[in-house]
Amino acid sequence: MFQAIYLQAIGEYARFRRVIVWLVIALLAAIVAYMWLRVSPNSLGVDRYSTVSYMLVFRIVGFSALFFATANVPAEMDQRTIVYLLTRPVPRWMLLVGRYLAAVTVVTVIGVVAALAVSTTAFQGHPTSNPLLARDLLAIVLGAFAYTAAFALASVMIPGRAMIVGIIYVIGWEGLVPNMPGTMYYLSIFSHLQAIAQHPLSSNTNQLLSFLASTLGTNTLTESVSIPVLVLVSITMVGGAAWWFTQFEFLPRDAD
Amino acid sequence: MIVLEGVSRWYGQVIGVNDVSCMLKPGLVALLGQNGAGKTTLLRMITGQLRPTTGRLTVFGEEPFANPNVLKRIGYCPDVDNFYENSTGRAFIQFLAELGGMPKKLARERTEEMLQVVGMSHAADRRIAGYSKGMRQRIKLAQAMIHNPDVIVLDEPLNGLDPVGRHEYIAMLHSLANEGRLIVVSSHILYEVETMTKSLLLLHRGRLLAEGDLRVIRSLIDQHPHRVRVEGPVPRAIAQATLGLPNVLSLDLREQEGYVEIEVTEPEMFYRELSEMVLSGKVELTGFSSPDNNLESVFRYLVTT
Repeated sequence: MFQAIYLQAIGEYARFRRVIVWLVIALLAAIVAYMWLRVSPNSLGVDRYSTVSYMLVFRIVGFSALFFATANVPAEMDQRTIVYLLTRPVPRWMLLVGRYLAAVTVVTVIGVVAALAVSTTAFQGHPTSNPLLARDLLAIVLGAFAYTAAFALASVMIPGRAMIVGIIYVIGWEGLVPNMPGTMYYLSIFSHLQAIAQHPLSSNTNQLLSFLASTLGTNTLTESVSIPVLVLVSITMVGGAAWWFTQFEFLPRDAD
Repeated sequence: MIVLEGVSRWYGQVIGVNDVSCMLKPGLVALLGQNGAGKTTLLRMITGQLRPTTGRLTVFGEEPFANPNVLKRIGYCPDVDNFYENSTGRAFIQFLAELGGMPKKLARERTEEMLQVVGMSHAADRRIAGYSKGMRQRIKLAQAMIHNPDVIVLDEPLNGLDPVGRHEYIAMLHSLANEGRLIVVSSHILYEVETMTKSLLLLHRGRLLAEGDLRVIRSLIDQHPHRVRVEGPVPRAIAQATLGLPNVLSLDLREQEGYVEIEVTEPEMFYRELSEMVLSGKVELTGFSSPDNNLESVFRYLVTT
């Protein structure tokens, strides 16, 4: 039963037309790293990768998580297919968790492809010589779980507005809070991903790039704190989403 | 099988279903009502998608909302015409079978079986996006029957079916009902329901207006004056011939339009007398119909009862 839910959702999420958009965006991130190399051939590969990774790859994880998490319940309501799912003899929590895991899988693949593509261009065709890659991949996996869980909860609590709230969160909160002084960044998934990725301080002093990469703040989080926090956030949020989905009514959109 | 006790459902300030009590047992039952009468709301409560605001609704003794124990005994054919459009008919049904907990091999076998039952084997590997309305209705029925449920709930299932398709579909529903299942079919078309079953639930503005045998409901209607439109080449002659009949209350002669509208007290008796007059050559007519023989009139009669 669980396998059927997971595989069907993977089939839906990984449709060519859906995934191709994200793969093109991943490619664009790689092109940015390549342009950096062309403009500044003497720059360090670690600097190029580090900045583009924070600026684009981790954002891609956040945005793709939003896109696929809202495809879970709100999109089913919009396309009115939710009725087939909710009238099957399957516990609702299982439906939600199965589809959540499918979304996490697709988001992780997109994030990994983006990281590999950026690493390939930043390190001039030698992605494995990137010392930051392994930690980034771990951060991408944990980020996929956490972001998708957060948006899964939003998508069942406010299905009609989950997308817009999510966009504000990813651009506004996740873009600004890690740059702010103080300890607000404890509440940002992005800051925890930075703590896990542990990129070295960049030698570039461009404030705009640092702002876009969200490295202006003083992030004192450590990997030993951030990994359990993200695991806890993921479990709590997806658990909350499953509970909510079980308790409340979800009808096809425009239903009387 | 299904028991409703004072069930009401509100959508904010608007009432969808208003204090409905009834019991549904195996057989073919039609839920008849105009658009907005509350049919879909009622069916959604039965199929565990909605909770009643007040009252109690049980299916096999349990509340159906998000209850897999109940849902495994219910098949639902929704009114919405939406699918996973990129999926094929076969993949769609098999997915829903597996989602219901059926092992893969059994799901495949049942899918083939159901595709044959609904006559969709030939198009099962085409994408649903390319299906006609009738084909989509058949696929919806197949997915509702895939897990061999005791109760099958169908919301406006005949929409979009051609006459042959309707005939086959109704025959299929009868055979399912004869197997001891409860089949609940909603419709807003009276004549459609009449060809399907004699057992009715009549909903009007969320209220259960009448329940039971269609003949009983008809007799309730027949206690009220009934309009019959009789058409012929000489409407005045028809008026003269029928005026003296004992159950004729009034006549409205429309010579220009070529008909007479007659108000009668006992339509069955009137139709008998009218046919006798035609056979004996007293009147010549080209057709007759009843403007009251539609759902709106049925409701009008029952509301004023």
